[in-house]
Amino acid sequence: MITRRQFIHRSLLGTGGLLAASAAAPTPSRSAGQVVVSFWSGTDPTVKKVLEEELLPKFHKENPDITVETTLLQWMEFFQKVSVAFTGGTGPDVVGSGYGQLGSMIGNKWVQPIDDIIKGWPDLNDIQPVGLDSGKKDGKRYGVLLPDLRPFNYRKDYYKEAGLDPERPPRNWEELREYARKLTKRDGNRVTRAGIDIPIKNGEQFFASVAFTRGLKNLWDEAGGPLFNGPEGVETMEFLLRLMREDKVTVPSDQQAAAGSAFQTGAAAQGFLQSQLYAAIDRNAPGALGVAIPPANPKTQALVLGTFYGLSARAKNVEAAGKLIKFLFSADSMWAMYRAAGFQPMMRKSLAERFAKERPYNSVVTKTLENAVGWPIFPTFLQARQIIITQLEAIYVGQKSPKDGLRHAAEETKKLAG
Amino acid sequence: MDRGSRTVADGARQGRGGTTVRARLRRWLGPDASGYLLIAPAYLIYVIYILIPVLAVCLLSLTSYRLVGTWRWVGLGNFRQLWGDENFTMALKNTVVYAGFTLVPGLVLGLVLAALLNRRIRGLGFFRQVYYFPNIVSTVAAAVTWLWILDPANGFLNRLLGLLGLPQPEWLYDPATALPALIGVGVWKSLGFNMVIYLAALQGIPPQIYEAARVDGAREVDAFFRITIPLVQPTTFFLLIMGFINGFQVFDQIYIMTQGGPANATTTLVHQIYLNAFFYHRLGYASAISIFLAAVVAAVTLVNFRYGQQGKLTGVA
Repeated sequence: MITRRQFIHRSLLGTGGLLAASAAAPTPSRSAGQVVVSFWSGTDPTVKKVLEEELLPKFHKENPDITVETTLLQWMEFFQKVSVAFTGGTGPDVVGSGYGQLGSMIGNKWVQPIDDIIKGWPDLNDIQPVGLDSGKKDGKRYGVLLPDLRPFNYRKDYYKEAGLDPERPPRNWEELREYARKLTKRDGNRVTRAGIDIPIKNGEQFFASVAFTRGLKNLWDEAGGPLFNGPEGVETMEFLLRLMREDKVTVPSDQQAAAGSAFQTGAAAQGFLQSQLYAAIDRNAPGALGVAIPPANPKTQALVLGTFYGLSARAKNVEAAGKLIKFLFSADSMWAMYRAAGFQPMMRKSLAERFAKERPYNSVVTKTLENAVGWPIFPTFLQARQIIITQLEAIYVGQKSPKDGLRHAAEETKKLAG
Repeated sequence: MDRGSRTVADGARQGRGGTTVRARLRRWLGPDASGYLLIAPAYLIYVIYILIPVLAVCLLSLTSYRLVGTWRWVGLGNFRQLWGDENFTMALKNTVVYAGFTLVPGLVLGLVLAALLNRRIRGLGFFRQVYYFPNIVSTVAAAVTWLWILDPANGFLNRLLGLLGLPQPEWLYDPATALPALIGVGVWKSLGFNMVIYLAALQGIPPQIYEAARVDGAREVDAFFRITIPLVQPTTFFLLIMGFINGFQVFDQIYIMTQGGPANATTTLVHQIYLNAFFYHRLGYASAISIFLAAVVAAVTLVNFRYGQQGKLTGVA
């Protein structure tokens, strides 16, 4: 029988041993002389799969002296984790970030310009300008863009049902409205299929896509000042409200819904879907997806978002990190990502022809990419985005008029910059 | 030897010649040294992961801390800013409404269900499990399921209402129905817990009281209002306070189902803390909201301690 003292001693020893064992996490075995590059990115499951199973192993094969330690997370949790990591000094060397996050990272000095590492890169001229210029701030590039494009989308099968020509999408707002009326299906008063998907929630991307066709350059300027409350923005909202309230051609929709927006689920005939979801639509409704340049009134500019791959301000191995970024945007990697992820707008000009042959709408995607614009990059983007989302919702549900709602959003946005 | 019967001589014997660290420590900690040592690891975890962060939040709430860059002392500036922030005032209003309206139906229905299931009926075990089931389902899974049910175009609920010829609201897309819908989900989720606690309380009521009432001619309804409800009053008070505290801290279903919209119609205090801290990096301001929330919850808890008759809850151990 053990004494009390022996029991206490053994308990403390056991606890201490358990704590020590749990703290001593196994480290991956690395050879001497290995350079380690840590790579974090928010991503969706399709891109995650091709990165982990194909591209990163290939990179290691081509660069046996470089080990890439990856952390690929869902977008919802990515920014919180990477923010904490950078604050704590354990941020990655190469970081993939969305538009909103990049502005914040630049403002917090967590990332550095990549101009020096891509200078002299032979592939530079082969990458679409939007991929290189979207990540510019104050004349410096902070990342290369893996794009997620938003051309105009429609369902050819629904067009045929409604007696519309599936190869002739609307070319202006008047036609868009006419088509939406013809494409809407009802069961009594209930709309069972919307003529157009107008997301009430998280609708800033849709609003921008339509407002761009009205001549609006962007929702914000380079410093984060509001541009959406001018005549183009107000006219756009008035047009969308006419579609919703007078024509009743919509169903309630959320751009970020877990199950997908109305167009994604087939509950709407037209919309502005993000290109990364094309593969899913092709699987569910083969041959039904139509892609077009946005209906011009008078402009055809489209919205492009996506993931920037950039360099941490404290990257330990800048040269190795640079090699990884260039590898991810090599022609082979871009093609592999396109094939394995199901869809990816092609950033390489040299692959445009091959890309066009793959799917009937790919040439339209490339043309749209050439005339696409992304958000400006500024530190308070996430807050500014939330402001416009809230006020758009207030307009859609009738709490405010388009003019009042957009003016209120502009006032709140200006306070951020101030 | 019984720890409590040490003599002065024993203490002197322990200290005599005890100049080692262990001996000094033992003298300082007294006869309960071993107890302190055993609770030390848990207490250390509490200090590192709870006490220090709470103190840090209190400090941050008085600054303009934004995760990086310079930050300055603003005193009560963040707290003053709260009342001019329409997002905060809307969140406070929504939180109070949510907490209040999940509480009363949750208590009433919980008591009624407990009373109905406090009898010998067929399938009693099955019914108890069915009503308790929502309480053990994860909030996230429940929220995603309810998103499907409440979809205005294709959700189960609107299809059912359509079949019955009733109006089909836009639920989470309409400010007038979004918060009520979330309240409904909150009541559904908490019902089982309230029912189980009330069941325990009811089973502590002596059956002779009901027998005596029956002999005196009381109907079941009379017995329910004049015997059951008064005798479960301490349990009701306990559930009231717990429900209020939980209601004030609602977040998961807001984040999953509405993200605070449409047009801030469902944003709550914890949702605003989340946005300000993790998206906008306004940690000073988020800390101020946290302190406000903690103060409200602390006030309610103090009321519970003062009036809740802890330890005298009928039927609850």
